[in-house]
Amino acid sequence: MGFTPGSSSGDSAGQLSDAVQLVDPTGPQTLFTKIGDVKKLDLRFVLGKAFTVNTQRAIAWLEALYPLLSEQGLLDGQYFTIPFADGERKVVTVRGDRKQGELQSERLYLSDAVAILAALAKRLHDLPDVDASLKSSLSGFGDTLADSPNVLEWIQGYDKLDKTAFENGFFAENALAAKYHEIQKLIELLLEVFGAYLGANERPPAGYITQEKLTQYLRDAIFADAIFEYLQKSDKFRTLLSVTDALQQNSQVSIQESAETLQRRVTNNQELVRGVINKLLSESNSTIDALIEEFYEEFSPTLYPQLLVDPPRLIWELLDENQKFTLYYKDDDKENQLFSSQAFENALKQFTQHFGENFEKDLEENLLRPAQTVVAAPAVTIDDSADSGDTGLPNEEVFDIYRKNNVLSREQLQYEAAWISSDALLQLFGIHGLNEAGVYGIDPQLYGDIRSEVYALLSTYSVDQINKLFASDSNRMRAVALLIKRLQSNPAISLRIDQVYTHFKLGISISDATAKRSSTAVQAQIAKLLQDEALATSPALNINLQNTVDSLIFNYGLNELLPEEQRVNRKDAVWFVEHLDDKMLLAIFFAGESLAAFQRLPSGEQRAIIEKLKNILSGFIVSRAREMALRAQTADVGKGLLNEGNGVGDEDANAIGAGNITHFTTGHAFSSVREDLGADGKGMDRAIQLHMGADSGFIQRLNDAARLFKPAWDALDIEDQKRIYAFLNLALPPASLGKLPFTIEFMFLTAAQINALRRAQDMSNAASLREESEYATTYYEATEFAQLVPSAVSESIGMMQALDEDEGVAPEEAGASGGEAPGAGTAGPGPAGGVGDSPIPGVRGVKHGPRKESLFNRLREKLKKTKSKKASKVVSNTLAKSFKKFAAEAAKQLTQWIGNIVPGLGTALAAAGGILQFLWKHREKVLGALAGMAIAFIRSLFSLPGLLGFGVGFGAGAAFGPIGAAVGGPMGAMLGSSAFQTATTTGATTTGLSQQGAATTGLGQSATSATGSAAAATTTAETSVLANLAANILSPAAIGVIAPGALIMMSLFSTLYIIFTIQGSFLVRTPSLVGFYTNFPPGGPPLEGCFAQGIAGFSFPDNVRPDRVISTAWTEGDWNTFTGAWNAEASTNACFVKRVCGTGTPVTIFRLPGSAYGGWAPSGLNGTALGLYDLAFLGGGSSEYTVIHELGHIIDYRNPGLRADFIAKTGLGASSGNCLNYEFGCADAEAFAQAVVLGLIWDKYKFGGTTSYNFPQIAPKAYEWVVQNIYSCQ
Amino acid sequence: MGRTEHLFMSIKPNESAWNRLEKLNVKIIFFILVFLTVVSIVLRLLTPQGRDQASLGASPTPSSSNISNLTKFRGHSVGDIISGTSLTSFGTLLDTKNIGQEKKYLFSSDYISKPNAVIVDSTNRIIAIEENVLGTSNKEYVSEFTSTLGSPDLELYNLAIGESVKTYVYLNHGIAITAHTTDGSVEQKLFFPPTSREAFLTDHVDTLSLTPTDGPE
Repeated sequence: MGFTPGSSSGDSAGQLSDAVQLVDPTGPQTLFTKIGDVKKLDLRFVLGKAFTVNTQRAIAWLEALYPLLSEQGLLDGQYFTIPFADGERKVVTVRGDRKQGELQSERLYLSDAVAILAALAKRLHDLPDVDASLKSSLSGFGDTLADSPNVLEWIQGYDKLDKTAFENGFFAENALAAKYHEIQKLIELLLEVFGAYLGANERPPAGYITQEKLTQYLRDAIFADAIFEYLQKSDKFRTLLSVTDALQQNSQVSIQESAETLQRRVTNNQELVRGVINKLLSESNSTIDALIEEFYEEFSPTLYPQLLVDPPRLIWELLDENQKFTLYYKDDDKENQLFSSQAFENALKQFTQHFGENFEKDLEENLLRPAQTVVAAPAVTIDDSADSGDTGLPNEEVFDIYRKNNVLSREQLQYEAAWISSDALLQLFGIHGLNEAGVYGIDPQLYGDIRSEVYALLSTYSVDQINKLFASDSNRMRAVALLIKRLQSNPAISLRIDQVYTHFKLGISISDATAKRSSTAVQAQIAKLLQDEALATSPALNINLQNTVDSLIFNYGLNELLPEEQRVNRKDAVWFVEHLDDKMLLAIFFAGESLAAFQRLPSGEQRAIIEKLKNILSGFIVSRAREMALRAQTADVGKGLLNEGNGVGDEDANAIGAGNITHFTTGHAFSSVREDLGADGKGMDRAIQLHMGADSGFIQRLNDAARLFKPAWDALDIEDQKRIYAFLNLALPPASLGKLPFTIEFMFLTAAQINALRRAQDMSNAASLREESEYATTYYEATEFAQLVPSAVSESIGMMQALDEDEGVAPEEAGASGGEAPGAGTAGPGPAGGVGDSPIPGVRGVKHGPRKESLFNRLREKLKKTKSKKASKVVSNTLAKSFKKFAAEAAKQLTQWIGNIVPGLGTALAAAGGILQFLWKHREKVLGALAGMAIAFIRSLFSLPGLLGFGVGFGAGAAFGPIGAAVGGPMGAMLGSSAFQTATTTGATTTGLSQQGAATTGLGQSATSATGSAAAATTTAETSVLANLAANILSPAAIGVIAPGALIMMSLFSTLYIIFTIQGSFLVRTPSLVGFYTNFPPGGPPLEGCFAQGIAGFSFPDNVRPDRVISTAWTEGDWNTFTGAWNAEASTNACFVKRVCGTGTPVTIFRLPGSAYGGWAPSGLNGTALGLYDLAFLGGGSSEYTVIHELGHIIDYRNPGLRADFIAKTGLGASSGNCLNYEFGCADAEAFAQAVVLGLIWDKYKFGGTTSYNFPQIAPKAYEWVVQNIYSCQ
Repeated sequence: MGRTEHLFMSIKPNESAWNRLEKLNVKIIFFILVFLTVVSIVLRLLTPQGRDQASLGASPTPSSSNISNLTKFRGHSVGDIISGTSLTSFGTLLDTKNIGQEKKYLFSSDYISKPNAVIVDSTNRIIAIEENVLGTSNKEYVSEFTSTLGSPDLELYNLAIGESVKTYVYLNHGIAITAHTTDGSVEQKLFFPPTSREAFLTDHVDTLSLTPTDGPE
């Protein structure tokens, strides 16, 4: 392995002379007084640290490194030589026109830096064992430069850019956008290189460089917007303008400029920074972190490299001057004197006085004094847990290097101390608490207490321990944990925390929270509030999310959470997460309108990482919500969030007090991870101890509890696990055939909750369900069943058989129901009204024992055994049974019906009476089952193919798979079969006979929907019956519920109707079913029957996917826009209409919120539905373009083989990377959809209003194919 | 006839002959239709289903085709040593590409833009075969594989094609079938040496994924 970013090797290759001093060319600083063994890790540290500040600084440091490396022979006639871990020196060859000598006498320009990186990238790429994904990312980097002289020229232009160039509009040319795009690519690759290069061990402590920041950096470097805008607004503009000019000039000044100039520059810089900071302080109530961030944004990166000190430090200093915050200085007289306002001025004065002749000496003594002289306190023993075990820290050798080189500079100490303090305070007080409690200076007493604790903590450590304390990510988090512990143990601080949370309720009343402390509904509500809160303000979002990500990384460890990604991609996950900017975080973790950003993540691999993180974070959010709720309801939280562990006394998680859930949750999160990993857990235990203040006994109890619960979890079937995940608001892992991972939240469910969840048909109503329905099946079961049963007939027969047999196992049915089921032609008695009793016999049986294996599992097994050889016997037996049970009432009913049926058929249909009678007798059970199963099964039940010899072949109708496909497709293909619901009435009465007049013409039935809304449905047998079913059964206000008292009619062959009275609250489980088809839009064909309006509130594409989005209501205007797009041309093309609508099942169009691009035709709905976002409704060509493109996907879903044929004959698609002018990732499906829309609109519109796309000329094969197969088929 | 007499005897004396006859006919027709019903259902069961059945599982009764037939491409398997003469058995050789130590043969398929590919190592041992079977007249369906090979080890999203297909992977059998989700018609087959889940996912990380990538487009 030639290049392993995360490893620290002990090789001595590339050692540098101790005598060399590394001077920061961007300022009169000696960065390191001694350079010892500069090896890969150190170089990485240097670069990483530099990048922490900004790119400009990194480049400057590269400059500084250049003579150093050159002296060591590492450049060796080239620009750069990297000693790799294997000891082999890899010479980096630079492509470029710069001569060697130029580098040694001039500044290293950005172009050189980029060239070096390019060369480095190329070398990495060429190494034989470089990870494939990195290799892929690196591929072409050098070529990009070589092949794009404009880029190099552009960069070099930047090098020489000055204010004049800016004013002359250097980049105002038309090609700017193109160049900018190229630069963007370069930035991504730069990040890729440095991300890999930095490795996992050295994470920038804050203000990480992100792509956005780099982009901003370039933009600022060019335009200096921030500076100029600020200066133009500032009162100190005139004063500062001269400074700015100087700074601009400095960008062209070498480090050999005169001491006088430097002195002036330093002075001016200080004033400038002070001015800006004071302005920020006066105008902003920002938190410290936000202030720092703001500072970085306010200042152009071209500016602050020129400063003597890092901005964060200066901020602290100025905050100190403003009497707002003086936490992080050692309580050392000399130190205080130095950094108090006056003392600092004196020091600065002294410094400037000596500037020049005593420059380095002053720097040494006053600004860059080694850490050991800063930390004067005697050494005490650091917490053992931080010293031993596998901590993942750099090894001792590396620490030696740090020490020798005084890497932990004063600035670092201050900054790190500030960082851990900020983090600890944030965790303790929360973002609201920080403001409410006045942590930052409003309350002097609190401020003093905090300051004392910080000092007390840091003063206990020796130099070495300080070095270790801040030496790595994990150690920094240990430091945070230690500080939290210390702060919480301070009664005054603890009391303040208590007070904060007493007032911090997030709208949840204490009584509510107390009463429902374990209610996940409350937790979900709070989670929602938290989310809203986070979304409401940018600072809160930033801090909450970044803090969460930090916690994720630090506390849990991506190595453990994403072992595969980390292994495969060599820490790329860490890099990736750390470089997510706020917008991306928003997009990823809160989806919504910024989902498009997520979609443009560069690789599926990174998306996979994000998916996992989302799952993890969703758990975090719930956990935090719970924490908030508990804090809101308890007055003694101040006694120590981390000190209540001792109160946990029972191994049974249910017995653990709610007040300890926080600890339990967090603690078990650790232990769960550990157990899942099978690791020894020592490190994790220590982490728990550190982070929670928990004793080992508590940890043991957590683990014991987990052991109790895990078997129970494992015993659940996957569907139960899914429901529990959903109940807990946990996102499901990516599609998996296996069971779901154990979730710690499971331990907080009561047995009743678990049982309810296991048996309920709808998770959202699970809590209200008290009893199990024997026939409460799941979508999963139904689809499994449907897939396993060889034919529709045997499904139906099997079900009947099972129902027959089940009679013997439901003895409670009769007694509980109070008698036999209502007779034919009479209404059901209506809801029984008994508390907790379902009116459905069999469902009502309260005395059910342990849940048996589900009906469909049993059926499945039974039918699997019977298979084809026994099929006929099964059929015969079943029919025989049915005939024996031919009830008088059923016969009477059937006879009546027969009399009204097409002559000749009535008698024939009587033959099916056995089945019908059976269904009739068991109608309630049947409906109970139907209500809980996928429509696929309904289809199976009623498509008794060939039964009477006049079947229309519907048994071999459209396929069904996912529920989206099942809805409508099969039923729609069942000519003559239909079902719908009539009025909801309590104790509904019906004979079903009044509808028979409509029998021969289909259901000429006028009915009122369950909610009373008009839903008259007149339909013929040839129209989509499922649409009618859904249109009548369902309404937006009753999503997922077949209302009590509803009358369900189902027809066989449009001639015979079976009438069922629904007497209970059946919960239709699959929103895919219930969310569709509320009503048909007005208008004539082909719109009617081809499209249906999707309802509002529908979880699109389903209720499971983490990236789901909730549909909104259609407005008339939007719908008109859609129909206008459809009717503009497409609807007049018979072939196109056939391709889209040929299945007979309407495409449900959902209105999705947000301004993401176009639409979404997800796989889960398999061509039955389409979501359109805001941008699809811009009107005109834009809407037509979007709609037809998306319908191209629908065509793909609905016409197997078509897209494949297109790709095969045109050569377009992923393999060629040619998706015509589709820009958002090239896949075969996109090439196809794009060709579909281009075929219609290429000569009608211009893209972007300006660009024509001559489709026939550019892609003649594709054009021809589309014309022939989409727009002029037979 | 005795049975008929019994039926007649059960008729009340004052019942009209027509009514009696009608009842008799109804019963006779009834039983005839019962018979027809049974026969039709049985026939239905025994009749092979149409190809447009559901993609997975709703397949006709597994045929007698054996596993090796399914996991071979024109009689060849991964691991076979090929010779110059046996090349013709793969189809018309269109092109040969050297990829490091490996060699990739491109053979004609039904579509010019989608040739079949056979990749061999330096010893002429086949290490992978990519067969494009899309849209041919002799369609294959994924149900044929599931009925013989059982449930796939992996069911993956195909990022290169789109979400109207899925790729079903049999790790131990060394075959991955990409098929349309609506009817299960096979579009591509990939033959590879039996491997582990992790290795397969790693090898195909750019094109196959456990998670969908759809969304706003």
